[in-house]
Amino acid sequence: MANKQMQVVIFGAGLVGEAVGRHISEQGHHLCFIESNLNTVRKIREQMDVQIVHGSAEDQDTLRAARVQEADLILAITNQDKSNIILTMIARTLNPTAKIVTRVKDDAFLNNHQLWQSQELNNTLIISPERAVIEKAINILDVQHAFDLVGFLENTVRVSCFRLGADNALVGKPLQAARAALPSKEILIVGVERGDQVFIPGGDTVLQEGDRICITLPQSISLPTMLPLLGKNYCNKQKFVIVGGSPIGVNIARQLEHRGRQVVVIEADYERCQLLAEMLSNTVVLHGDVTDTSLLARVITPETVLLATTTVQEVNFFIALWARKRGAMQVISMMDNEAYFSLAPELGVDAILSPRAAAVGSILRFIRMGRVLDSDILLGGKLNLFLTEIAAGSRLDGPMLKDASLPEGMIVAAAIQNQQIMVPHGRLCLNQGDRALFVVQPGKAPLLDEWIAQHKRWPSLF
Amino acid sequence: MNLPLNLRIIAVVSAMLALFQLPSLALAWHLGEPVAPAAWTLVINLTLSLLYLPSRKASFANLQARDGVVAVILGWLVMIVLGALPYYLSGTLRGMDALFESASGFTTTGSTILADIEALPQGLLLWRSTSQWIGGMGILLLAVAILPYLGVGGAQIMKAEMPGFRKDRLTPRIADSARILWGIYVGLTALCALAYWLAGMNALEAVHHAFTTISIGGFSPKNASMGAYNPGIQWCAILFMVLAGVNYLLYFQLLFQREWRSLRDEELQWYGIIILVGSLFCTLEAFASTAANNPHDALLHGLFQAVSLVTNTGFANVDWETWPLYVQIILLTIAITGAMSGSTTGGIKIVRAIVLFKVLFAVINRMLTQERVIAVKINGKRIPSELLDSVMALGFAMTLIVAAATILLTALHLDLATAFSATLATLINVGPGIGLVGPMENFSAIPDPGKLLLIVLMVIGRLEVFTVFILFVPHFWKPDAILR
Repeated sequence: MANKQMQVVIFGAGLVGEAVGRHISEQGHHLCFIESNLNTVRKIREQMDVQIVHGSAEDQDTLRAARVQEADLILAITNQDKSNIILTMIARTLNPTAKIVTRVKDDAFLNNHQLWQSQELNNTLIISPERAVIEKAINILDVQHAFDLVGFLENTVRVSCFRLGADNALVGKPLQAARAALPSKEILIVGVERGDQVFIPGGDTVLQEGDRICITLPQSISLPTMLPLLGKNYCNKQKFVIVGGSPIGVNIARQLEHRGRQVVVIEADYERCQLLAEMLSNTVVLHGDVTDTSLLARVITPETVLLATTTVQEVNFFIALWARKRGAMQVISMMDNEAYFSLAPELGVDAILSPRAAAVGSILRFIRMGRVLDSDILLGGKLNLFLTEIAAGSRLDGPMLKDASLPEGMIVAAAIQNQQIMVPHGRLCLNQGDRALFVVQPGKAPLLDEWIAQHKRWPSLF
Repeated sequence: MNLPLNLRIIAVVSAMLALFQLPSLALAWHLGEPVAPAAWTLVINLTLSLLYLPSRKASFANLQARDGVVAVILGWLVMIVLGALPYYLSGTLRGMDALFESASGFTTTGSTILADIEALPQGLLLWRSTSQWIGGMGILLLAVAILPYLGVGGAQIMKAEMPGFRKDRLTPRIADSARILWGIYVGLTALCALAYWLAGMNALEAVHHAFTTISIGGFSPKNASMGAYNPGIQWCAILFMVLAGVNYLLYFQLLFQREWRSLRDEELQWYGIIILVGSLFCTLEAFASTAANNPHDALLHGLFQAVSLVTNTGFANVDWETWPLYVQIILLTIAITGAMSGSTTGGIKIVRAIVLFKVLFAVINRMLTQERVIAVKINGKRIPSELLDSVMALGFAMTLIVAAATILLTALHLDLATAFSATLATLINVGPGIGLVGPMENFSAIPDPGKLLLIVLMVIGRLEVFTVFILFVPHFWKPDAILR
């Protein structure tokens, strides 16, 4: 490995902490959790190959045991804003050079710029689950029918996930044959989820209806021609219905409104409605019980994209399913309970917005090392994406992609040569200094370095 | 009733009037005109100022809203009567006519009773213009500004006298706010006088017209109003009428707080749109009429009339009664809207018109979708429902007053156009109407009872209806009744 392994300390082994920790650990770094809840400590100890210090993070012995002073990266991602901010300050005093990421929910803290410019908090990387989920939602809504989407380089390179419909050019044939028949060669499938299994398809993979596929979306792609290839219809007059005027719902509405989209917000509390009507300008605000289906029935049409963003995830689940049954074009539900994550798609919820998953994604983006310029996850972490630079003399420097013999579970989803973004094909040659977006299955991440960093040509020594 | 307060208000008003009378007295003396009427008025004013003495020890710590209302209305009545004295004592006008001219001056209406204005002595003419200038921003507001020991609850006075939509204070202290408002007012007047003078008016007339332009009054010492001057002066008049119709709060924000964002004010944008649309129709018709058969004159006449009416100034540079009736009605309609709130304009103010339109839109939309929640917003801020109620009530009250006054005037055998437009012209303080009271005619044809009615309308209009209406609520006179 050309890269130094990082020492990472995570304050809080809660659900976010655990998910982030798993990714960090899979990438081969040394990880230490600090957690005060004994049950959580036991669970982590059984499931993961990491160090975990049981104790209060305020305690000096705990901090010493976790070797906070020597850490390269510190994550303050407990559930409490105030704890996170204080832990950040403590960590900064102990370790002035580490990269520190803190998780803050409350807008009152987030918008306090003076606070973040203070001596202890300066240089802190802030992530907000709410803001992350809003960004995620806007990204998903930008591409019709997509149920997940990550963007790199200011969204110029995107990889998005679709559910394959019946009756289309991709289903039922080996992929190589199907792609040859497509009018556009720009469609590159970089991942397939079938049931619980995720794999990276090869030329002989046969896609089935209901498969969830990940596709590279270059900027030049035209949705109206691409969507029919996946068995989906393109609609040019989508109407957005947001159920629940929570801060997340309002911010999504506001951003859609800025893009000139037609938006309806339904909220049960009248006072809140009045506030919404003041905050939004072109959005129609309706006051009504969100579970009163007669109101919903009137706003749902085949062009409707429905987002259920109330604070109760079961209500969101119900509303999304009901709208699906009434023939809405796309239904998206906000939920955080992982038990629902696999159930919801089977019952007809097109996409899930999870503040927690979005938070994990945005934390991972901060954890870059070596040649990895940016990273994110797809399909709830079943695929990792890395944007990297190709080093001189690496295995990818020079040969055509098909001859570079990338290991199984790894594929180049996009290449950036001379500022140009291209969807790679087998005869493409990458050179030093080019950037490439890799899709990698978890566990294969440590292998990535062998292909992008300077290669120690062991065989030639013998 | 708060007797010491009322005595003090009378004293303050008469002292102020005495002060403002000095220039016209000096001018009359300088030109060798008879000074007796002005001198006698001065004596009466100064005598009334002595009413301060019995009230000098009174304390006004716990003033109620009603005390302010009574004081302001009383102050205005005293002002109108005292202001009429120079006309009456000089023998120029009969009693009712003198009162009408005085009321029209102080309320910045600009309707005149005089057929031949130029026949008046110069001293009296200056008093006529001065009365508009002090009525524009309000003499009581001036008292609040310059008399720190007035001891009168400035907030109540300001609320009752200052026209406006949201009577927000500019600064924490009421006296400072009053000073800033008067400061901007004086500054604009000085600039305006300078501009007129540079454009070729003689110094005295420049002051006359600056007084009546910035106060949005519309009195002119010339029979032909602004029509007597060159186009350069008329363009100056257009510019300063527009400036005088801008909310003074915006000047404050631009000058003192450097808030350039205030230029994106919704009301300001609509002010511009109304002027543009109004002047478009006027210009087209002016071009079609014989009076102006070149584009420059047509534009000058069209824009001048539109601006003069929308700001409720009431100047004219052409007899717009020769234009088609529909354009005259357009002019009266935009006059009802008036210019921006927080200026010295009359009418209901543009911001209220915007609010009324938005309420209408909201009501219609709610009829279509019952569950819909719509916020009526100005500049992105929701208008609280009490304020909405007051806007709608004002609209209704104006309608009622117009209907009632039109009925009364037609009962005096005036024709409909005259009765209706005279009512509007005085209620919204614009000045000229159509029919017998057109821009080139005067109000002498109205019978005396009609004149009295119009005087009342002018005061109602200047004090924005509610201040006067409050007097007719029985509870107003028995404030404790509701508590029993």
